[in-house]
Amino acid sequence: MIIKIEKRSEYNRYSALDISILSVLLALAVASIIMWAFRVSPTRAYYEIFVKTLSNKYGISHVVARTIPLLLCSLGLVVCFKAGVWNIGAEGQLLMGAVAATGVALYLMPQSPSWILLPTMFTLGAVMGAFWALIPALLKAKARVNEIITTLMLNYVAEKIVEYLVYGPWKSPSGWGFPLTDTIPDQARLPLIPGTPVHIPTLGISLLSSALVFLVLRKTSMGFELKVYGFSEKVAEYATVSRTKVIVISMVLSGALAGIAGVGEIAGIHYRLRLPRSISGGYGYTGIIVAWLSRLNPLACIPFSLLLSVLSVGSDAIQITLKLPRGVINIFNGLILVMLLVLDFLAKYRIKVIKHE
Amino acid sequence: MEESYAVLMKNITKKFSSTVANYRVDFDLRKGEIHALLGENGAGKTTLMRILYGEIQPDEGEIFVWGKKTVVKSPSHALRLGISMVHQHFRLVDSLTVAEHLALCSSEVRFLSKRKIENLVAEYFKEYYLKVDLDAHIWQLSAGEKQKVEILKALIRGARILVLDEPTSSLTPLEVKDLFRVLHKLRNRGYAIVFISHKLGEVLEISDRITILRKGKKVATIPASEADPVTLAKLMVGDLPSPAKNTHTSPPGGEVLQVKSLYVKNDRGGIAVRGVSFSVRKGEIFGVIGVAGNGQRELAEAIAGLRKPVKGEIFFRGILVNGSGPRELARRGLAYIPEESFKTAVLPELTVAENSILRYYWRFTEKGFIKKTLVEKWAKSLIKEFDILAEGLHVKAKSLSGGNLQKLVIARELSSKPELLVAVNPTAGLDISASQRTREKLLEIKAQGSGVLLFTEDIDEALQICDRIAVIFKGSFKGLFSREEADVNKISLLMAGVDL
Repeated sequence: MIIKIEKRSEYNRYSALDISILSVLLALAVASIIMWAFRVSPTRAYYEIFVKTLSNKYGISHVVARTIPLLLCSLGLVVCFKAGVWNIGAEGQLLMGAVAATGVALYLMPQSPSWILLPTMFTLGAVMGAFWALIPALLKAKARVNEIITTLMLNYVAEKIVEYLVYGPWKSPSGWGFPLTDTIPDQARLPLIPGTPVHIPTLGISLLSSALVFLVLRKTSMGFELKVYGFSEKVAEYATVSRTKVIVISMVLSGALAGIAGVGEIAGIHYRLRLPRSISGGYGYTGIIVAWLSRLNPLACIPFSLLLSVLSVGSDAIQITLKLPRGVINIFNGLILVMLLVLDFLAKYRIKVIKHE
Repeated sequence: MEESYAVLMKNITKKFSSTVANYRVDFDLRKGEIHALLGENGAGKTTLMRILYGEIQPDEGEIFVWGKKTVVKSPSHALRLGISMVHQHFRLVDSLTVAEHLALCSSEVRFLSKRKIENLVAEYFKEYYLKVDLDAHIWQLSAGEKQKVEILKALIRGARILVLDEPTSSLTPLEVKDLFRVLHKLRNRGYAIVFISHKLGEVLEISDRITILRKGKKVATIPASEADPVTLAKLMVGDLPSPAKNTHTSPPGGEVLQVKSLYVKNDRGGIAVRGVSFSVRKGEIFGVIGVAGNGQRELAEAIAGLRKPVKGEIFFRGILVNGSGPRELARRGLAYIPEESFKTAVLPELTVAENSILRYYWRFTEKGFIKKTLVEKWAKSLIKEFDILAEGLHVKAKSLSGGNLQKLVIARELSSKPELLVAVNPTAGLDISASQRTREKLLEIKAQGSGVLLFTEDIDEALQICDRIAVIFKGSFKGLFSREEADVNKISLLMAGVDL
């Protein structure tokens, strides 16, 4: 018996969107098998996740609040992936943005009024995120060091920096020894939609960024360069596209957007720096899934960010109501990405089992 | 169904969105014959054979293989039916050895055993002149040897019907002779062979019957013994254009390019260009002729700013440009058509319009935004002036045939108003009328005062349009002729490495 893989003669039978949606559905189907193993009814679980979450103000507002950093991270990743630059480091870039925001609000200029303090926090947060992405960008551009490894590794470095700060020099003296910094002053906090954790300015920035990234990729020569380089480094060189420029700009833009997401989490949600896991919850990694589900379309990132934050909020809920383990959200995310990759493959190739005659 | 037919294709129609690649084409192939499929780029030759090979499905029509009505579902299905296709561009893995390739094709060799492979291919080596070094890596082989590997692969898989797509396009004249010897032998042993080509001479020499396609339709099928070049050309093109002549006689102007004792390395670190010096003047076509792989690509890339020279100097419009990048050179008026431009100078996933500005997008940019209306106007004019067959400006370039992609590159580079055009084999793979058209355009920009540095493997082309001709062999120039003193015999000897 031989298993053969052959290219489909005519593809595009399924649109990219079909595949995205189908892969989410399949992932949910497979996840229900796992729930069975925990003796939890999948219908009940999905009812809790989708219907319960979206039927009350609390659920919806948390979904929107989590959409903000997710959208910002995924937008940056779209830019990188379009250029074929595999930035896996949004998580670390977000954390460094959070560090910068906390530093500005607690130590650099805690006395300043809001209208100076908040813009400074956003600016330095973006710069810090961008700087964290610039390191692997320069290593790739100048020494051809693989950016997948460096960006991933820098995530751990960023986590350690945050841990060092909250256990060490920035630890709050009034925190009973918990790994937390002091809370940031009132004028460093973002305005919220009343009664929700939705920080308005960051929500605005994230939606505006979707439009801007869309515009840049579609209409500008910068977008053209990213696309050309993404398809072929060789042809890009022929087309007089600067390799260094593409790598640096895509990474810096991506890092800045993730950094802004980090600022939002500090100034809008936590009001202090704390352990990395509490701040991010993996937005930088989930952003990768959002970017792929959206087929690198910045506008499609909005609905897919929403979808994945519904899953995220919903699985927090079922941890409590159905006593499922904490890792359940990771199962969803992982399954979605796997299904997406598998379905993409199956849309292009056909697998045949041939029995020997 | 009559038994002597290996393949019978009836009424084959294939549309790609709005273009018709094949329209009600009939084709038949007998056992023990070489049947040539003749036609210009985009005439539908390759499409027809890809249908037979199961790579694409016809919209209409029937296929009979060995007398049985068949739907060829996929290439692997085709292989099981005994049909194999050798593509124009070889599908081999550079880093594997010949033995490894052949082992992959055989269901008998499960583990890589050299003895088994030797047994397997011994017959082919002896009977069909297909000897290749089994231990050689693919990248070490010449084009002719690669072709032999491809044919061996097909035979090991048990093919009885061989489709060869433009098999001579990358071969030297000697390798072509070798190939013909192999094909004759195979034919005499009962193999059925389809020979796709647009070269009249070869088709007349090798084939038993000839089917001519034009614009997707079958024009005629005639025995080769009753055909002659003029009739074939007429059937193929309709009306034959008269060849372009270099009649422009005004004296060339100042030097636009000067190269002084230039040394350039190839990708593997060896010296590919050894101390070449020459200059190209305004209003002149300077030809560099040689067999492929003698340093042409490296020299062209060094001049275009894509490869750093090891030693020596390049002056472009009087300024030393050794360290300049491709953008700076393009800005100063250097246009470049690289080798195999249909894959090295276009991106199939981008649209036709995007490809039309690929190397010059910065000229269409205002305050960071690409001006869509300007681009469309430009793309339209290229398509019109160079007769490019495209379904529209915003379809992906991969929907164009290879020849039309190449025309798009030529159009883009020639229309960029260059001071100097560097072109590597721009007409290789183009059909007669497109080649003529390209040569006319080269003469046209020369008359307008551009300098042209033309790398070519085609002596006729060099003699037809070049003002001066240098022969390149193993990275050095072996002689420089003005057109009046150029002599075919001398040049061919120098190309072969004979010192005069």
